[in-house]
Amino acid sequence: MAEQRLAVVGIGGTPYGNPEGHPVTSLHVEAAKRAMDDAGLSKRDIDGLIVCDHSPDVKTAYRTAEHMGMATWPKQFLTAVTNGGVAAAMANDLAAHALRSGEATNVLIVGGGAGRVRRQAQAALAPTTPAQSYTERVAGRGQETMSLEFDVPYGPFGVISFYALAAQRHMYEYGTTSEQMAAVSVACRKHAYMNPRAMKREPITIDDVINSPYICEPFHLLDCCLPAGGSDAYIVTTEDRARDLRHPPIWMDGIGHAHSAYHTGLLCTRSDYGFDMVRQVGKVAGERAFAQAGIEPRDIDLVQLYDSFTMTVLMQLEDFGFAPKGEGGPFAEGGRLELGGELPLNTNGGMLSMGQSGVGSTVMFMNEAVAQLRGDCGELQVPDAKHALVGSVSGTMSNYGATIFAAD
Amino acid sequence: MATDSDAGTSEYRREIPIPSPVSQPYWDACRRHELSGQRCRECNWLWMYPSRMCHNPDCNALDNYDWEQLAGTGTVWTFTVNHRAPNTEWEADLPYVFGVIELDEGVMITSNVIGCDPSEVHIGMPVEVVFEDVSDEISLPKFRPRST
Repeated sequence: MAEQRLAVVGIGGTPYGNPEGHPVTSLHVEAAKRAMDDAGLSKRDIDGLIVCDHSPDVKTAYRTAEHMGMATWPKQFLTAVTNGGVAAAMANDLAAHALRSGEATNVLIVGGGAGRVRRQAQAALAPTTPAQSYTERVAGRGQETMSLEFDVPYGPFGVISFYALAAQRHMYEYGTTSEQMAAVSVACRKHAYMNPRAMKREPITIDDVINSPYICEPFHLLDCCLPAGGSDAYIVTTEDRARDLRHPPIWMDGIGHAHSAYHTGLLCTRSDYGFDMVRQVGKVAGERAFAQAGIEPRDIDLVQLYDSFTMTVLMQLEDFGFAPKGEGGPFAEGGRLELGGELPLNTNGGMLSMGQSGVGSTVMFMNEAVAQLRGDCGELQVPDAKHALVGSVSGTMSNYGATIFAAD
Repeated sequence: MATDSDAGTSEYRREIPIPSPVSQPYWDACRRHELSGQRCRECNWLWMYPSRMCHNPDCNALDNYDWEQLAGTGTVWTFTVNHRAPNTEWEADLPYVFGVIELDEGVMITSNVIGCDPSEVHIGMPVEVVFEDVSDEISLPKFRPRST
């Protein structure tokens, strides 16, 4: 029996910024409501729920179901995926298994982050454990990470330092320039200008990017994404149900992912498969997704690529097969990634300009791809868009997801 | 191997590694100012970063390795100059270099490059290990330029 084709049938999201200071679960509920309304489904139709955020465990899914008033009836399929920027890509894979096995009929995937509110709340809690370092708290739970023992003692500035390591090596090996990286940020901002939901909308130039202050060389401030509170949600079902719903189905035809090392020293070590920090396993994820979808990179009309940093995009363009290895930089030049260009990127402004809602951004990109393929994007619409690829990345380019969507 | 004599001990307030049963010998060696890796007794594979299972994709050896002293020399494989500090304890060092060293034995280690101006650091730069005694139990391996 042929596998059932999967479709996204509802999308929705909150405004970005979270000025009211909602906890993330409250944002999830709002995004879920909008996605269900968009699909014309009630919550009783939702028998699968996957929650993507930075909560430490699966209980965020239980809490979200409770806040949606779904606590009192049995749900066959309920889980959380919390592994950063690749979360929604993995949620797609879980949803596919649940839908094709009959375990669930409509799976709601919701993801987000509360933004700065969350960090302030954590700071408020800090005085209760004054004598303990972060390392001590983790070790005290019987957990360990190589990064905590062998990276953090050397003072990395969050994840930015780690991605900067990859950018520096990429520039060294392939001659990639700061101006080429900046072109990614400029393209995203050009699109954000037309998106009322975006956090930053004033146009910027390549000079603005390379003249903004260094954070971790070679990254300037405007090479780095913009933290923001927000949540997005979408509903996945199978072909037989999708045809009867409100919107034309947008098909999820390719789901690929691949994982390598998390700790930096191991990520840099070239494996006998030929992968290292600047030649990443996104290649495997992309090849798998394209094979499933039965199309090639040249068939893709637009991309939504995880833009934690400008270099993250250049490496995805290479590893997913849009540019030869090492030529992501030249590929980004000349407006190729802007609306009207050959391969429009992040048509809502991406995380660089619309904002990064933590793990939720992986959901945000799926929704933007679906909206484009429906033809619902107004002045941001890519004409005649039939195929879109969503790239997801977590760790320091440790984990990759590639999701390919198609319109009829 | 040299010692960074400027390093304080009692006032150190940055994140300090907490050894696990597996990594304790690595940190004990660092305390003696020796850098070490694990060498598999079954397949002779050398790996960095303490773990119980051999890192050779074709070898499942468990708890069957020797600790081996490494030369402590290598080159900068990649690096970043941090212009922002993760917390106030690092602010006095800004800007400072966080990077990855490819050791002469072929394994990679994350560390700081110290003892020179950050603007002098480049990929391929020859470096050697220097230990910073940060507590009674922990000495952090760091790297400084070496002449070839």
